[in-house]
Order: sequence, then structure tokens, then C-alpha cells
Amino acid sequence: MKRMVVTTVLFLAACVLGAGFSPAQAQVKEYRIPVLADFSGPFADVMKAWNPPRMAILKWWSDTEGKKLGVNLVPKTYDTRYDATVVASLWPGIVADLNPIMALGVGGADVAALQQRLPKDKVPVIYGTASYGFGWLPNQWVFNPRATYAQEMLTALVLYINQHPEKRPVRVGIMSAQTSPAFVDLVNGFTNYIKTVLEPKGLATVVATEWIEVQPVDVSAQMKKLIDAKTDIMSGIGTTTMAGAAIRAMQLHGVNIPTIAAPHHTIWPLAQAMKSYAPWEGHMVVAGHVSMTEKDSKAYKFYQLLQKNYGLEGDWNPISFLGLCQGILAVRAVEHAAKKVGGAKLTGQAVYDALSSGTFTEDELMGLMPTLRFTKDAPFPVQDAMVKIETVKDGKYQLAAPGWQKIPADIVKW
Amino acid sequence: MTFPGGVHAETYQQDRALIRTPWQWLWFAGLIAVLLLLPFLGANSAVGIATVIGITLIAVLGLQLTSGCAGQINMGQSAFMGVGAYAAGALATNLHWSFLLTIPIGGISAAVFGAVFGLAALRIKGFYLALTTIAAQYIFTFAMLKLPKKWFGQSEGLRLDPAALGSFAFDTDNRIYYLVLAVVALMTYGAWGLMRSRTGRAFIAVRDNDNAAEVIGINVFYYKTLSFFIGAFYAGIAGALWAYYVRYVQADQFTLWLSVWYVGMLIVGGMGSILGAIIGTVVIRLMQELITVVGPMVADVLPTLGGQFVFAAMNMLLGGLIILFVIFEPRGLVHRWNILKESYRIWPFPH
Repeated sequence: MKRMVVTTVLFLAACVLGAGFSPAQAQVKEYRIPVLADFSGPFADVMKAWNPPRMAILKWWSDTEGKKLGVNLVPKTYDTRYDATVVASLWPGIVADLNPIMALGVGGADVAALQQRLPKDKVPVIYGTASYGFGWLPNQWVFNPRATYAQEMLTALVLYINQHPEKRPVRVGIMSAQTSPAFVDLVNGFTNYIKTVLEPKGLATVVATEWIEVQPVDVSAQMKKLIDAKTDIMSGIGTTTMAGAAIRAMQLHGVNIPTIAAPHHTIWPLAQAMKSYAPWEGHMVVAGHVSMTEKDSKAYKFYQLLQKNYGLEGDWNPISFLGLCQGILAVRAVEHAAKKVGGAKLTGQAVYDALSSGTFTEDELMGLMPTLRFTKDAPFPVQDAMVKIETVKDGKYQLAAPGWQKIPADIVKW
Repeated sequence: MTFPGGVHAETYQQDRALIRTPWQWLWFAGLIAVLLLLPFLGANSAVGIATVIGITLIAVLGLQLTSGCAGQINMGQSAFMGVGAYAAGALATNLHWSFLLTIPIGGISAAVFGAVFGLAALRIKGFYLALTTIAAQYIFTFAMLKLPKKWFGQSEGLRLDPAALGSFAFDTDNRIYYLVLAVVALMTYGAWGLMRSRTGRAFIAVRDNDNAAEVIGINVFYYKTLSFFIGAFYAGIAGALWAYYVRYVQADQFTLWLSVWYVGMLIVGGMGSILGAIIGTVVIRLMQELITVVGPMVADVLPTLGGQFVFAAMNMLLGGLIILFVIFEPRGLVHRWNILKESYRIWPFPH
């Protein structure tokens, strides 16, 4: 009898200890996440600011929400040199070795190498930048947190038109490169909307389109043509080098034609080099993420938390926003999927399902992005997509209009 | 070529044979067996790497014929590859032709495009010819973004269905690997045969001294153009295979840097030798893969270094190794391989 009591007590004690000691550890399942990076190719200079935020977010989420759901996301970085052949040769091994439930990508090189095989591999890949019109297709497995560059820039153009009623129809000039599908797509989307929607309403017209190199040295001749065409505002600039050449050409001709571009291409990076925002007076940058000026925001507090507790190095700038947006969308997609199927049963299909028709609130996204509504019609938010627009006024970098600006809903696929 | 004692060719066929000794047959059979069994021997990563090596090898073999054998500098091999990819992709997506037709047509399309640039080789050579072929790269990108969207997709690119024979689709990594392997075998055999033919000897004559070649009756214009035609044909075949591998074709995939890498593979492997092209391609691609694999490992073991430093250092290492190869063995690894083979065969005699 005594032995039976002792055995029972020991058994119960073991049960209690088993339940009490590290229940979360026993239930936490580790998922390895391939993180594609470019430390030695064309994006090597920005990767230093882009990569750490997404890594820090994976760590933060695994420590907080992931722990509650029994999920630990462990990143594994691959330097693909932004080379489609490297991605194509690496990927079968990544899928076999890691059996990933999702991956974080860099850009076009990964998309080119992977997009056709991802539905079969059942691995959604998440990006950090805005999208392109050629990716505006249903049932895709590559996801962007932002609408297309053309949609974002058109939103800024509409704001400019509304702020300058005296200039209608606003005379729009375009300066871009036609040696890459990405730039051609931006110009196509931009001009298509102006010609089909804004021009018939007498709001804007395209007066000149000038083609330049992707990395130009001098564009003063092309700028002269835009000046001669009495351009009010110009767009199409897609690299920092283009932006630098454009502002130099404007200074040479003694004019200041406002440009519309992405925040990581024009005002901020060049103002760092020029040590002044003054040359960018009136110019605009636009993106579907928080503004660099918003240092009293939830997003900034979140960034500080990552810096303090998760070793995030680097500045609060438009490049780090790419990594932040990519990371936060990725972990929230996993979170949605885990809540639906359980932390131990996560699959690429479950994450895809969560992404392809999910809604991610601004609060969930820590204020880094507006509420994102995905549908199967596009691999990026089309419904109610919004942006923030920044400008330089009186030499100060600031929001051009308060809060999120809604992307015109009548922009259709070009 | 030195053979072990007792190995003599007694007939013309024996003298012409590529494989002449039982040991050579054994090694060859072993290589074929390893290549055929690769999907079952190693991890899936090996299959992906081997597939890309195979596709790259075909393009580099073509470049070897144009540049290494015929002496015509070509910096547009990637663009020629792109033409093949687009031609095959356009026919596959619009007319739904079988890959048995689209791949050769991709090759021929690239060959015609390449031959146009070969025409310039009669008047110019060296850096001037290199510049002309660089122009091919720009013309290719511009053309593909301007040609009819219905056929070539413009900025949207082309999306292909997997290559298929009836109901059998090459839609897995292993299946596409075998398809690439078969084409690589065919194209390598073709390149070896070509270099042992009258055409190959004419290429070498033109490369060594085109004036002297003309004096002895070789049609220099014809053979220079032909070298571009054949080299670009190889690139086109590689491009078509690439199109079926990734099933998406866009102008951005075929960059000038890719052409530069191909030239680098030739230099490291050895100019003018088919085996050199094979060695150069395999060594450079494996080194690229190695640093891609070792990088994350080092970053995991030494996280304090940071990914940025580790990956940059890995690529510096790759660049440094290439420089060392060129400094210490300018005739390429194939020369070192030949010395090693000969030394082994005549061992223990030094001469």
C-alpha cells in the first residue's frame, strides 16, 4: 500500500512538473525562413539598412506572439547577388532542406526565377517594396505590401493637381529609362492613367517623355526639352543616380521642376549627400508606409523597441522601412495562419491563404503601413490602398498632406 | 597527347576515337553513372545546382567556339541567350509548339541574331568587336520591350507551361535536370566534334592569324560569321532551356554581367579548349554556390561579424581566387589538368 501511495505521488509530481516546466518550450515549433539578400550585387549598398529590420522583426515576433502560438521563426540568410541564376540554382535546395512556410525576397531577380514554381512548391514569398503592373495578376504566390509604383506616384500627382488648381491642366513631364521592364512599366502605368482619366477631365496632360540611362551622368539635354515643354511637374525617376543627375541638370538650367518619386530614390538619400533639403523644395516622394517625419508615431516607438531589445542597428529611414514593412507583413501572415490552423500545423499553403485574402490592420502592422486588404485578384493591396506623401517646404522635410492618402480607385491595370 | 606505354592507334578510327583506353572508358562510365544517379545520390540542392551549371555550360561552350577557338571576342553571349529564350517562349506560349521544336528554333533565332554581329568581325577585331557585341546587349533589351506585346510580353515578360512530351511534363527539378543533361551531352559532343573537324581547324587558323589563314585559302569572312552563328546557337539553346526551367522570361534576366561571367569562366577554364569551358564553368559555378552556402554558415557561427561583412568577404574571396587563377595559370585550369595527366602517365620518368 505504502509503495502504491509513493508511486502515485511520484507519478502525480512528475505530471505536475511536466506540466509546469517549460510547457511553451515543449510546444514551440521551429520554422526556418529563407531570407534572400543581396550583399554583393546591385543592392549591396542598401542591404545594410534593409536586412536588419526584417531579421529583428522575426526575432521580436517569435519572442512575443510566436511564443503564445507555439511558433519560432528562425531566419536563414542567402546572398543571391540579385542574380536570377543563383536564385534558380539555390531554390530547390532551400525547399528540400528547410521545407519553408514562406520566404522573404529582395526583388525582380527572385520573382523571375521563382514565381512560376512557387504554387507547386507551396511557398509564398514576401517582398518589401512597391509592386509593378506586370505583377498585377490573380493567384500569385509573390506578395508585396504596397501597390504599384505607378499607383503611388499617381496619388501624389492628384494631390499636386488639387493643391494647384491654377495650373490645370497640369503639364506632366516624364524622365525615365527604357532599358528595364520595371521603368517601362512605371511610365506605362503613369501615362495610361493621365491619358485615359485625368486628361479628359482637363486635370493633367503629358507634355514630354524623355528617356535616359538607368545610371546617367548628365541629363541636361533631356531636361532642356522638359523645360521647353513648360513642364509643371515630372515623374519616372527610379534610381538615386537619375535623381542626382536630374537635380544637377535643373540647377544648370536655373529651374526647379518638382519631381514625384519613391522616398528611397530622391529627396532623403540625396539630401544626405548634399547636406541640405533646400534643393528639393516642392518636390514630392510617396510610398505606402509611414513617413520618416513621424517620430511620435506607434511605428517609431516600435522601431525604438527593436533597437533597444532586439539589437536593431541603423537609422529610421526609407531604406529601413522596406525591411520593416516586409518583416511585419510576414510575421502577421504567419500569425493569421497559426491562429487558423494551429502553430504546430503551419504550412506554406496556410500562410498563402492568410495572405491572399487577408486583412491586416494598421494596428497589427504597428502603424508602419495602413490597413492592407489582399484579394486573389492581385498580389498586393488594391482595395483602399493608401500612401503617405512627403515634400520639402521652407527647407524642411515634412508631410505634403496630413495622414494617409487614398490611392485613386479608378486606376485600372494597364 | 601522351598515352600510357603500349597504347597505339592501329587504325584511323582508333586514332580519331575520343575515348581510347579501358581506364578512360571506366572513368567515362563512372561520370555518366554519377550524373544519371545524381538526383538519387545527393540532396535536392545538388540537382538545382547541376541544372544551372548545365544550362550555363551550353552558353559557355558556345562562347568557347566563338572566342576561344575562332578568336572573336564576344561580350553579348547573354543577349544571344535571351533571344533564344524569347523565341522559344513566344512559340511555346502563342502557338503551343512542343519543346522539341521550340528549343532548336530558339537556337537558330539566336544564331541569326549573333551572325549579324559576326558580320562586323570582318572589319574590326579586339576591343572594337567587343564593343559591337556589347551593343547586342542593349539592342536585345530595347527590342524585347518594344516588340509586340502579344508575342513577346514587353515589360510583362512571358510565362511558360512546363516542357511536355504528351502527358509527361518536365515539371519537377529531377525531370528538368534530365532534360538539361541530355541536351548538355548532345551539345558537348557537338562542340568536341566541331573542333576536330575542318571547320574547327579553320576557326583555329583564323584565331591564330587571319591574314595567314586567308593566304592558305580559308574564307575568313565565312568562318568568322560562322563562329558567331554557332556560338550564338549554343547560347540560344541555353536560353530556351532556361526559359523552360524557370518558366518565365524577361529581358532583365539576360544582363551584360552574365556575359562577363561567361568570359571569366572561359579564362579560368582555359581558352580554346572544350574541356577548359567545362572545367571553368563547373569550377566558377561551384565556387559561387560554395560561398552562397558557406556564407550563412559563417554568419550563424560568428553572428558578431554580421551578414553584411561575411557575404561581402565571401565575394571578395571569390574575386581573389579568380585573380590568383589568372596570375598563376593564365592558360587556364585545363592546362594544369593536362600537365597533371601527362605527369601521371609517364611517372616515374620526368620527361
